[in-house]
Amino acid sequence: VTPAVVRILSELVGRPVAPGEFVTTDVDRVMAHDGTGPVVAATLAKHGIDELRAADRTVFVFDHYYPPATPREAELQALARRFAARHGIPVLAGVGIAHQVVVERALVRPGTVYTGGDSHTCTAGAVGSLAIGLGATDIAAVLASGRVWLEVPETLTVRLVGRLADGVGGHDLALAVVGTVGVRGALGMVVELVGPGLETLDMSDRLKLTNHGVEMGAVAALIGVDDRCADWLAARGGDLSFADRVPMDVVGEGADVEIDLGAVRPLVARPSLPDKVQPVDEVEATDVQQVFVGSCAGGRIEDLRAAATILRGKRIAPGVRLLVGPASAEVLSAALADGTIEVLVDAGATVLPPGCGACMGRGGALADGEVAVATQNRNFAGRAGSATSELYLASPVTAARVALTGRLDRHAAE
Amino acid sequence: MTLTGAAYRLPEPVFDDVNTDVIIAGAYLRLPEDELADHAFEGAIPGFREELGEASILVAGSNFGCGSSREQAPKALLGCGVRVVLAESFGGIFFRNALNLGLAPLRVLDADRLRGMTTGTTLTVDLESGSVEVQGGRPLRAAALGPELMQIVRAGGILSLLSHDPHALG
Repeated sequence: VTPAVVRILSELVGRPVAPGEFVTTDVDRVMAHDGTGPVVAATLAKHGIDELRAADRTVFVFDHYYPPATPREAELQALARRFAARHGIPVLAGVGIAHQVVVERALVRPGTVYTGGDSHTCTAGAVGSLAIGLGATDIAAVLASGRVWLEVPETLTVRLVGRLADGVGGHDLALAVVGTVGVRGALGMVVELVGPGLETLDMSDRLKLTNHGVEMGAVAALIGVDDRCADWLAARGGDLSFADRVPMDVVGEGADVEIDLGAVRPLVARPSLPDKVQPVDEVEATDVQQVFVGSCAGGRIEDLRAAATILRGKRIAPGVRLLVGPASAEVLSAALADGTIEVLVDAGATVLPPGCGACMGRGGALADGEVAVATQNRNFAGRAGSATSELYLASPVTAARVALTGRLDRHAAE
Repeated sequence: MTLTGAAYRLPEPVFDDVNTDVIIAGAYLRLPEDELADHAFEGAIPGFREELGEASILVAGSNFGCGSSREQAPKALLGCGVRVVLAESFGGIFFRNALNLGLAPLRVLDADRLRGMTTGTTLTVDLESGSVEVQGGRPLRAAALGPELMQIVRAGGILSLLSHDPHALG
């Protein structure tokens, strides 16, 4: 079976390409956020480049620092806005995390190349987009030229079989995949998820899987398009013209890695790498000062609802900060409409604006020695505050249980 | 294209899987670019700039620069005077960012010898051939940067290349 990335790039380049080959190709969609956008603008100005061939395919999403908390942040956003206005680039501010917004609004097309100025751009691979995270200077180059250079990546196929057990969610599965493959296991490669287990997963779970692609070192993560994905995109006005380049591989013959969904248990990743994965019921007990349910990994409506099922009618432990970060305004609206937010707030949660929230320690920073449990994808040392703070990664269900007791221990698995 | 300088071997446990949050923390990303270097490896390697001194070749293990796409990481290293990073492997985005900004990333094939490198050793790195001369020792082998990547390096980064030739990427 030809890997999906090779099929997509061969179509775009106009001849069969092979892994390792240097190619240049058209980019169908470009994204920068309020961290990378201002750097893109300043870098292009520094090099005297003002003609942008991909301006009509570009979107800016303000998510990391919105609303601005300091004059400097406001200034950088104003710079990005002036640049965007001059080039006719739309700015989406306060509507959520770029990685959620681009799929929610079907701004990416299956079977084409999407480059975003953020490492979790790989999330959009769940809708069959070859979604590649880049730095700001690379994004500036794509914006100027409409093209990107790539060394055609090798592919690591991960075959999913079976069905998740009750009480186990897509977040546990994503941690299981990262734990199995490892943080270097897919370095420079594309992780392609295949196998019959995919059909049992909803779009939220699939987005969790591709979101974690970069945590395995991958250039991109891909899931082919099936009816569920096509219907989901079509309902959002998506363009499926090139979806036939990336059909879902539900067989997954000869895969590199196989994971039985039925064997996945509730998991955490211990500090300070996302592949330090361990079953919750084997974890060494620790007191926890902050719980974050949010981010591009774990801030979708399904995640908020999962947390609410645990927290309904209860109160979080004294001294624990429970922060809820809806991944988008659409998620927040849905959670308001169905009563999820009410349940969370009644339990003692603080609701953050739609956006990246506490993932980077903004709106929920950690003091020296503090411990947090978060539904985000990274637990690097110092990621969310003090260099001596510690981050555990877990599902929204596990995180909510920890918020009730203020303690991560084996009981968080029940 | 060759570069000569003293090696600085990153200390354990900041040798393998060094992520860009560790190179430059999120709190400093909005600083003016000339202030980034003051915070390189803050939290992980106390007194990093003094430790580094005049060394210009950083020596690391596997998966250097993994994680966040922040190009403030290579910018902070450049600000400290680092010109080359020798590692067994790199996070993919960091590798590209480094090339784009004039920091040369080279994948070394003799990983054990990277681990055993002494800080202060003088190295001469040939980016095109991938050969690294080691003062008082056998040369190290690294994967050469191919002709396309050398074109980016020679131009001084992808944007310098595009500003001279808008059709460089086709």
